[in-house]
Amino acid sequence: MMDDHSHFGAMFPPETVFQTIGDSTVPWRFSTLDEEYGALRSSTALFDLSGCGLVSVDGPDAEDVVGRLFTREVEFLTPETSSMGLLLDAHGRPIDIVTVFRTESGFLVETSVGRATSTIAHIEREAAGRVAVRDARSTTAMLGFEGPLAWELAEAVIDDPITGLPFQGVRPVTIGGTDALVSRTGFTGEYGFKVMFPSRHAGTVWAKAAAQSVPAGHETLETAMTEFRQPILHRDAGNDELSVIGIGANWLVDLEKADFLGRDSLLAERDAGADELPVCFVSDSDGLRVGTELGAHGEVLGHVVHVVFSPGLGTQCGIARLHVDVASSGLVFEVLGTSATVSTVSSPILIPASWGQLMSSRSG
Amino acid sequence: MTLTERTMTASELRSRAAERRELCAQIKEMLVERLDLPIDADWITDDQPLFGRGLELDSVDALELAVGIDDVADVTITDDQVGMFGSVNRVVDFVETHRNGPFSASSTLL
Amino acid sequence: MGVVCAVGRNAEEFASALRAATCGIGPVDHVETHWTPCDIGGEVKQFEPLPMPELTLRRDRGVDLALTAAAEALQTSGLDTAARNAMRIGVSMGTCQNGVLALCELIEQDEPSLRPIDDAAEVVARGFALSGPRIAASNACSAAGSAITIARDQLAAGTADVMLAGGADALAFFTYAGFSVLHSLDLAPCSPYGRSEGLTLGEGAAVLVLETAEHALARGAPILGELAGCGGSADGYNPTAPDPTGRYAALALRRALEQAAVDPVAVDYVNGHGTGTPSNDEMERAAFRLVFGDRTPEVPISSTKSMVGHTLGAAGAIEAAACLIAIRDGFLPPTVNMPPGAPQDFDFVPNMSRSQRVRVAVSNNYAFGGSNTSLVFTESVRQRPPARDRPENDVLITGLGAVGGLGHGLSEWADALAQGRSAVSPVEVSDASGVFKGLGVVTAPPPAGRYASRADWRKMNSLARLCVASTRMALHDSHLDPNREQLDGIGTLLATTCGTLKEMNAFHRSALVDGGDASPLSFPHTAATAAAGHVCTVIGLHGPMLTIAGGSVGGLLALEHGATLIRHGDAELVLVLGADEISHASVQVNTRKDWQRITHEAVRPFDERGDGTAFGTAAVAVLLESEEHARRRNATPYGRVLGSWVEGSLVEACDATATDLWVETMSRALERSQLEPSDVSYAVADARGYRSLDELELAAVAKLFGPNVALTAPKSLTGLCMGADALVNLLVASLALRDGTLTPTANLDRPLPEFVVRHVSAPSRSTVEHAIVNVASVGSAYGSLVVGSAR
Repeated sequence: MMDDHSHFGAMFPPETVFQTIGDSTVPWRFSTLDEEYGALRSSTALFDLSGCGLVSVDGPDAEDVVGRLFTREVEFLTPETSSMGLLLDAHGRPIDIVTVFRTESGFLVETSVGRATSTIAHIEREAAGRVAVRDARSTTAMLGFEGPLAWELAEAVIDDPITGLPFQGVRPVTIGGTDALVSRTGFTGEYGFKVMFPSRHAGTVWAKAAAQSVPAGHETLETAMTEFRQPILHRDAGNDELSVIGIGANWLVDLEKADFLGRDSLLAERDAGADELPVCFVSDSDGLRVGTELGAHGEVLGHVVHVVFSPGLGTQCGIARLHVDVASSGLVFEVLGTSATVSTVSSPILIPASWGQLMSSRSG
Repeated sequence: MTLTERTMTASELRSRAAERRELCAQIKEMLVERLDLPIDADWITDDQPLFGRGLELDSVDALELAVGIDDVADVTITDDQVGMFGSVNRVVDFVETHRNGPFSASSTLL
Repeated sequence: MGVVCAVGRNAEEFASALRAATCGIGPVDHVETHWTPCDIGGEVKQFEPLPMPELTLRRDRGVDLALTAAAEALQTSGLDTAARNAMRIGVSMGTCQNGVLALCELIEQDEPSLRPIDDAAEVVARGFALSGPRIAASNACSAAGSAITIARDQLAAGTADVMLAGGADALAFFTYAGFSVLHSLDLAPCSPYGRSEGLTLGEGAAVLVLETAEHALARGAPILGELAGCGGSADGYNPTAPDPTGRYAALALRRALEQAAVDPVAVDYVNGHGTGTPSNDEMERAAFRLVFGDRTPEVPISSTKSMVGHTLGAAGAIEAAACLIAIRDGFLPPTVNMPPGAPQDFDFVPNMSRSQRVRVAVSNNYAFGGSNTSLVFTESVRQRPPARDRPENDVLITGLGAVGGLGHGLSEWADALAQGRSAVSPVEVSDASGVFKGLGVVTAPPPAGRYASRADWRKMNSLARLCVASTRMALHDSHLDPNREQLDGIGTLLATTCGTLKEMNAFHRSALVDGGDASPLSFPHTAATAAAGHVCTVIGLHGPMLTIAGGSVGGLLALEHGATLIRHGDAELVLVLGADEISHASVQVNTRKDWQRITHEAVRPFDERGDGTAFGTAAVAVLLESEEHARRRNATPYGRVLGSWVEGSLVEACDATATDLWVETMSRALERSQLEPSDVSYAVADARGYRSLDELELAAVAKLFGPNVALTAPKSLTGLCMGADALVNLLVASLALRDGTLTPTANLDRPLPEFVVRHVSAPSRSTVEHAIVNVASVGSAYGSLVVGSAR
């Protein structure tokens, strides 16, 4: 049921570097970070999203089941829109960040990279046989197009016009005559499209897309997600315990929704208050690692939970957990035991290049 | 300049952070009131996205927000300042950079 | 045809200006633009209103513009006064902002003699003594397109011989403020399809004289062209922004072309909506490509708004006139203010008109809330086979939903109606204009999260929430299976009279007092059509969509239009909504316009002690469905919609002539249903608890039916719910037709003695085969609708 190998693997260059994340082995880097990241910020990066699970949840009780597990409303979700939110366990701890699509027979749940197996197990356990849960990865391939010109690539690859597809919108289309689904969602804050299509066409679609874009690995994806402050469950808590409030994922949870698994525990956690909160930082040196302590005049005030090198900034940036008293943007902390400092900054750490650029197809 | 000269003491950090928290809280209250958001202002984090997948705001909301910020902080926003709606923190950065002097006690916040 | 706008005081001046490519946009004189950065517009200079001293109605500039255009249209149509008196002539006008300022002024001043501005359709009808139906379309920028569409349907249904149809709106600070806060105004004269940096407001009016071909040919009328097709659709996308794919704008145009039996290849000229805002212009390009395909670069498309500005409710009428002039005079009106370097992929007729024969011209309009209309005009009257050789579809009522004082949902309403439980009670309602304390009917707001996502709910005002809730209920009640039925073809027609009064007042106040701090989010709420737009958006409806004002009779006209759409096969399912709310503003306006008092004691229709009425909040949704469609899916209908009639009043006062009008309207509705008075066993009255009005209706009921009908007055239970009244009464009749439940009139202790009728004064049941429903906009129009059992 689990497939470690990408549908697109045959198309990757020999020098591809892989990394294992959860249940998946994903292409981490195809060429260089600079080249791949540069494409994401200036034109279009092509991402192999085979590491994300696609889980169909079908049956008359699908709305009940998905509604009880997902942290946002699904009742009014139409086949034309999607919604990103969390699945929590009974203790209010994140199981996964998922994007939910309405289908004719139920729902399609897109999991985060490497989490399909555990998410499927969670849904099956909670659904207790009331719905049919199926891992759709063996038959469906998924690619991501992200960048200020991603819409051009989407228009080139997809047979139908994608004009006017709103953010989070979903539309049935064809790709080379084959039925496919396109959604205007992404991870990096750049214009983003995901296309899902039968895996038997993986090779031809990849070839067509790669001819007009730069294939980019998950190193670029995670770097840009960090700069955009898009949560990454397998990174954002560092070595600490994973929690919604601890990684600042509150916004993925609609507390106005009356009932979902983990809600009561999360409310209790909220009411108890946090000792530490996540804050974005940029560094003036390169030596930071997960666990590096930050403070003032020798006093420990927090530690790094996630850090990447940002080609856009030319320095390290990431997320620190700081004592709640000092968890604010606009402050300078010592990197304890060194002469380096970090500055806390506001999210997003880097404004995506697509912001302020029109997505337009005036000519065609 | 030594490291200690470049950095703040823990108590300075705490007082700066407290000021910042207050500004963020005011912006969040304004957001919820002005946009009639079905959400508890305390649940909004300083860093979360406001548009798109975050609070799901749209372009008319952005205009409303601009009027609200002008009202609260006497800061006029022009169309090309795209980054400022990235998060509550970004709004506060913008207000701190552009307003003339601190929030006056007389400015009616909301 | 009559026109008045920035480039012409009459149709001939307008035609010359179109040919000469005159831009009428410049600094405005008569409007105070206050703090708004834009102070230009398409203003009608040196406008002299027609004196018409005998016309006692209260007018403003918008209404005066309408009168001027109507006078010219009548005069050039060749219909002299004698001819007019022999005919039944109706008026259908689109307006957006008529009377807004006067309304705000009225609400804020405590001067009892001040009355609200009468709407343009009403004033034109009274000004020229026209007794047919008066229709006030209020779906913002496509209102005139809708007004013309409804007028055409009135003629097709045979309810009028001639219709004056058009639109009117005047420049006002209110709209400058509103479009300013939305950053929609161009600081320079607008450049549609060119710079596309915003719109320029304009003012004006245009009126067309419409009649059937037979009628026009028989009287030897000068024929300007044929209105060959009318198409409508709803974007169902966003409260303010158009669907950027243009697919539903294209659908409206395709529907109009199909109705006209005109191939897109035959279109010689398109008068686009062309506001000059980037989102509109981009959307239209997409729509044109969808309809015209490879031929797009060859189809001349122009925006006459570049010359006259965006005249909002008048736009569709002025642009229809431009189409008729293009056909008559053989030239293409240009798009002016077009920068050099015209695009190659479209022919926007840049900067200069072009001589060319025009056989088929199309006018498109798109409004706030996603209401799209397209009109197809053709040269002369074409010989073609009868458009409708198949029998008309029968219209059934297959779903009901209601929110109001009697409860949330049909079952709560049915219980309260069966028991005669009145919702009238002491209430206190406040809005920006003040507080109303007295008897009235209020309802708890529908809960968030139940009828739409919270994100959508947040964008709605209270009226839209009521509409969405009642629509969900009606669709649920109809048992339509959303997975199996094509729900997106459902038409959405809303009647509301005071629907956005409190929002208009609040916005106007904030714009005047706080200047630039006026709320961008609240301006869209001031458009009456916003509520219907929200319904279409959250439910995903894309059928024809429009909004009608005009008091309680507005609801009847919406029902009539919905039934016509189904009868003619233009839709299989139509949702008709009536909704209004009690507010300080709505009570102020209604108690002055209808000479009505609020009772201090109880609403007692048909009672000797009836001393006044009470206003109420209600939203009622009725699903109309073709019999064939209903049968196919085994629906359980409530009843069948039969004939209706609306009679316009020529006098303002409520004297005995009103009884004659009631007799006339009920008789004609029966006649159109091919029924005799003796076939009817249940009458649902308009009576509102004000004795001097109620006895006029009672006399007519007694005269026509005597004691043979069971008579009920639901306003004793629901209060007077304005735009919802007709739908409330239809709901009462529907429950009787299907379940045999009669609704008692409450508080009827001392029935007016001189009339022999049979009141329903206690809960009772009876088999009802046919029922008649009455509604009145007192002093303006009286309407009746006959419904029958579906058995």
